[in-house]
Amino acid sequence: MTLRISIVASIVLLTLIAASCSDDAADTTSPATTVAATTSTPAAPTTLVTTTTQPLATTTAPIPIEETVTGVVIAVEGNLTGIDSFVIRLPDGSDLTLVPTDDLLFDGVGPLSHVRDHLVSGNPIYATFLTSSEGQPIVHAIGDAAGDTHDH
Amino acid sequence: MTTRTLAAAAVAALVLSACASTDTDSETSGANSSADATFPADTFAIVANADIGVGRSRILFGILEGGGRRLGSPDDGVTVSVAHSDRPDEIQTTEGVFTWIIEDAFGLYRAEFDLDEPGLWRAVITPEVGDRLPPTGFNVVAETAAPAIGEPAPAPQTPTSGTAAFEEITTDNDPDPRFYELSLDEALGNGRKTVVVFSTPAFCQTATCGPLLDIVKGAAPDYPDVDFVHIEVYTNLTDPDFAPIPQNLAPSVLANWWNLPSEPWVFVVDEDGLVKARFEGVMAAEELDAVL
Repeated sequence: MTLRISIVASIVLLTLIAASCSDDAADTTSPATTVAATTSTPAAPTTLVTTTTQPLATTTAPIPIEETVTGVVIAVEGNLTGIDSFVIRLPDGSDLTLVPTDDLLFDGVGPLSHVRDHLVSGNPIYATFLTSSEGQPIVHAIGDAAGDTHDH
Repeated sequence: MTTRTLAAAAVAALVLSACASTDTDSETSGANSSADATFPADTFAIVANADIGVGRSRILFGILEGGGRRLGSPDDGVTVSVAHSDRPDEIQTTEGVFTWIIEDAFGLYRAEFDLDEPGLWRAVITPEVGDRLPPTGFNVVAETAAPAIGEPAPAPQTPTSGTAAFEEITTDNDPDPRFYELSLDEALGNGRKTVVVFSTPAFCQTATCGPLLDIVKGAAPDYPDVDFVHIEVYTNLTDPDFAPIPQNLAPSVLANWWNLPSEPWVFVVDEDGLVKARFEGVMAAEELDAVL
C-alpha cells in the first residue's frame, strides 16, 4: 500500500514536472512571461493567469530601419582624410545631418571627400543610412542621385 | 559623445544658426512673390568654401531652388552682404560675380570680403529683381588649413615625368607635359612664378576638378615665364588594388606640407616662394590672368 501510494505520488509528481516543462517550452518564445497560480475562492478551481511583465527579450532593442534619401549637400564637415559629417537638404525643405561609416566610398569607387564636390556643383546625392542608438543617421552607401537638376 | 557626433552637431548647429532669421531678415527675405523675380520663392544659398580665414577672403556661393535645382548665370545679377554674427550692423556689401563651373551648365557666385575676426559670419544674397534670399552662414577661422596669402609655399619633392610614367603621376587623360617637368621643390626654388594645381580629374570628373585643370592648361601657353605644376591628389595610381582612400593621398597634400582640407585647389606662388593667390574649388580664367 505504501509502495502503491509512493508510485502514484511519483507519477503525479512526474506529471506535474512534465507539465511544468511543457509550460517552460511554450515560454521559450516569450521568456519574460510568468505563470501565476491563483485561487479566487476556496471552492473555485485553480486558474492559471498568464501575465506579461516586460517586453520580449529578443525585441528589447528596436530593429534599425534602413532609409534612403535624396537631396543636395549644403554643408560638409571634414577634410581630405575623412568626412566627419555632412548636411543635405531634402526635397521637403528639411535638413538632415548624416555621419558616414569608416572607409565609405562615394558610389563605391570614389573618395568620400567627393561629397564636397557636390557642395560646389549642386548635383544631388542619395544616401542610405541606419539610425544609431544615439539617433544619429549613419550612412553606409552614398552616390550621385539620378537626374540632372542644373538649370540657369 | 564621439568626435564625429560632436562634429555633426557642430555643422548642424552652424547651418541652423545661420538660417535663423533675424527680425530684419524676416521682413524682407524668402518671399520672391514677384512674377519677374530673378529666383523662385523657395531659393536658398549655400557657401561652398572649406577653408575661410581671417583677412581678405574669396567666398563662393551656390544658389539653389528648394528642390535642389542649381540656379544662377552671368545674367542673374546679385549683391552679397556679410556681417559677423556678433556685429550684425557692420555689413559689407559687394557685387557677386558669377563663375561657370561647366560652361552654360552650372556655376557659383564669388565675392571677396575683408573678414576681420574669426567666428560665424552671416551672408545674405540679394538678386537684382526680387527679395533677398534667406541668410546663410559660414565659419571663419583664425588660421586657414592650407597656406594663406603671403605665407611661404611648402616645397615638397613631387614626382615628375622624368622619373615616372604619366599614368603613375596623374589621372588627367590628356596631360600637358609642361605640368609634370618640375618637382614642386624645384619650381618653387628657381626664382620664377609658379602655378600649382592640386586636383584628381579622374575622381571628380563630373564637376570641378577636370574643368579647373583644363582652365589652367588653357592659360599656360600665355605665360611662358611661369612654371606650372599639377599635383595629383592620390598616389599608387597604377596599383591594381588602388582605391581613392586616405591611405593613398599624396604626401604633399597632407598636414606636413600643404594641409589641404579639400580639392581641387590652385595656388599662385611668387618669385620669392610666397603664396600670392589661392583658389579653392572653382576659378575663372580671368582670375588667374589677373594674378599673373
